[in-house]
Amino acid sequence: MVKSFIISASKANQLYWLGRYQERVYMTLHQFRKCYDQMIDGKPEDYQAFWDKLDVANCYSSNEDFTLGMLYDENNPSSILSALNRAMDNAILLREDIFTETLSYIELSISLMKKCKLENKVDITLLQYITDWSLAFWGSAEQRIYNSRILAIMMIGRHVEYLDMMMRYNYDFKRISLGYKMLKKYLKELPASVDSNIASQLDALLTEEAFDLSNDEYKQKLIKYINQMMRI
Amino acid sequence: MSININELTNSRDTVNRWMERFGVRFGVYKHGVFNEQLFPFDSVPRIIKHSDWEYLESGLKQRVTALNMFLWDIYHDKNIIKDGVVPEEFVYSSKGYMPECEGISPQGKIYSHISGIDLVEGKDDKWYVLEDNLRIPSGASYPMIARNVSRKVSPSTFASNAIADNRDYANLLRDMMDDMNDNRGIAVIYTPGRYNSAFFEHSYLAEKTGATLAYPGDLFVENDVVYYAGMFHEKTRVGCIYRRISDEYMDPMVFESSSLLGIPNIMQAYKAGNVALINGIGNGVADDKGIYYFVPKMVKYYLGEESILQNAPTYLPYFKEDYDYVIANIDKLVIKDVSEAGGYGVVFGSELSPEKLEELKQLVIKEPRRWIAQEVVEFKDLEIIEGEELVWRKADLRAFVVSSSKDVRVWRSGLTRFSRNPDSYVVNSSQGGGFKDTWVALED
Repeated sequence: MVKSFIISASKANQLYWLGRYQERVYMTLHQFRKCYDQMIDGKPEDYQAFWDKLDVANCYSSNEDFTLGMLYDENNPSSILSALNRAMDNAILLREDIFTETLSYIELSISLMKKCKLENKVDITLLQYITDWSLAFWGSAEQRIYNSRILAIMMIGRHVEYLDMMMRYNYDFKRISLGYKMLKKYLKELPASVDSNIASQLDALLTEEAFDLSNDEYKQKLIKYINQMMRI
Repeated sequence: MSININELTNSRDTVNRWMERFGVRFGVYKHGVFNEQLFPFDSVPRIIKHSDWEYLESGLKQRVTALNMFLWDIYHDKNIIKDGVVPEEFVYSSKGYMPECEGISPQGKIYSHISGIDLVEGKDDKWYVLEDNLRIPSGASYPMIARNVSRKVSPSTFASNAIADNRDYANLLRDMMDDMNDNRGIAVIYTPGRYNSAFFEHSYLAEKTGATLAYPGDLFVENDVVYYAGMFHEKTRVGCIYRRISDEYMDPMVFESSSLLGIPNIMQAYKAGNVALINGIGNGVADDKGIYYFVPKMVKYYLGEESILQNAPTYLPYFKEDYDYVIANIDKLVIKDVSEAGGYGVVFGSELSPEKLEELKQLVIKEPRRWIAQEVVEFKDLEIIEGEELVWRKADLRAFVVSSSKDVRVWRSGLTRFSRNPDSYVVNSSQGGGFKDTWVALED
């Protein structure tokens, strides 16, 4: 059977956003765990530092409220369950490209999160399953997807999200420049999708000399460019 | 066959959990709101004896061959009408008849490449055809994936029973699509999208056949040739489309002009023979509930053979003799509105109040062509697991027949749907039913 190696515009968009949301799940969990640990013996408003970095209005009143909201609030676009739902919205349309087994890791994650939500349960150890399944998702995708451009688009989405989150949470230059290198590797598969003007500005900003995330203007510029670099 | 019911009972929940993991769902619209739900799987299979299967297989091949010949005839010479076998009113007043298809000649004269024939096994041990589905029959993916999971969950059950492997359905489809494609371009499964009730099946079959899953907006027609559009404005030719969109939405230039799901000018490409449509357009005229009555006559007319498979005893109020019988016995019959599908428009006279029965009678009197009536076939019930116990429920079988220009093949399995409610004959998933795997024994 002849299969198309051409990727439609809508499919490219879904692949990109699947990559982004799936990475958002992983990174949000990672940051959330750190915050959760801090809240155990910290101050009642400790969650705010975590929340402020996402550039969204604070809608929580306490650490407990924040914890439940970050995990399960489907109306909060930053929550883990929301990110999983959005990942699924894209993944479900891509079964033939990413395969049922890869898709199943998102199904498993949503199913567990919904079950915990129903029970109003906060068990931080259970969240390790979501992390494991997130990593399994990427392993399965790399193992099974044989169209390198399809994988590249997902990986571009993944690394854009990774960089966006690392910039928001003030990671160091070494981590961010490594992530940027990985992103560029995948962008080589789709040179026509890259905004070359933005790419060269990012190249100039992401040097050890220029790097300064304590400078808000610099930070916002980086986040903006990283999000606009890929034209999907 | 050696079936360990306890083992199957114990495995049911595990299989259903795996099905959930794999996203095996179907969509239902209720009060305008779309909901996805799991299709409940019952792990006690329907088992069809080898000799029964041989009978069914030959009957199904015969029936579908005749139906394809009927479709060709209706859209070309119309000999069956001229010879008075099928009254023309039943053809031209059918909602499924598409005058736009007149003279179109699909490759190999095949219109119904994938036919879903609904059968029941009566308490008299005879099989009866209840309905032919020649437009976009769905459901094969469910037993396919259920078998795959069940073999993992309960390997000993499969080690100790010689049954046909049903996981080859994708191969049947792929072979047929390759035959129809004729190296013209890529093969596509065309879906209306996620909010279609059978979307799981569309995406799963695309994965398993290796076809490209295309959505509205992905395909376009240029100079009577269909293309798949790429993200960089590149294009690749499409040779065959397994479309999962109804006829009336396929081409807004010819049919429903407000359709956003269709591919403008696809009918031009189809007419020019530049693309195969699976299934063909206009098949609804042959699976119309009114035409069903004539299928055994078609078999005789086109093939010169007696029909191997029997219809359920059916009456057409259109004919005087049948009309009188239906009016006199309406309280004992199943009355079906020919324009409805999916288990809707089916009324059991015995379940109606005297007032409702009278209302129905008046409808039949007013529009006799709109209705068919059938004797209630006493189905053989099948065992299903309800909680921890086995109970008996009504069940039907949808058999899938795949036709290409080379051959007609019957998938050695099928979708067995059962009613969840005791005494209900309505097994449709959209009405809350579940499904079973269908085992075809390799020997008696």
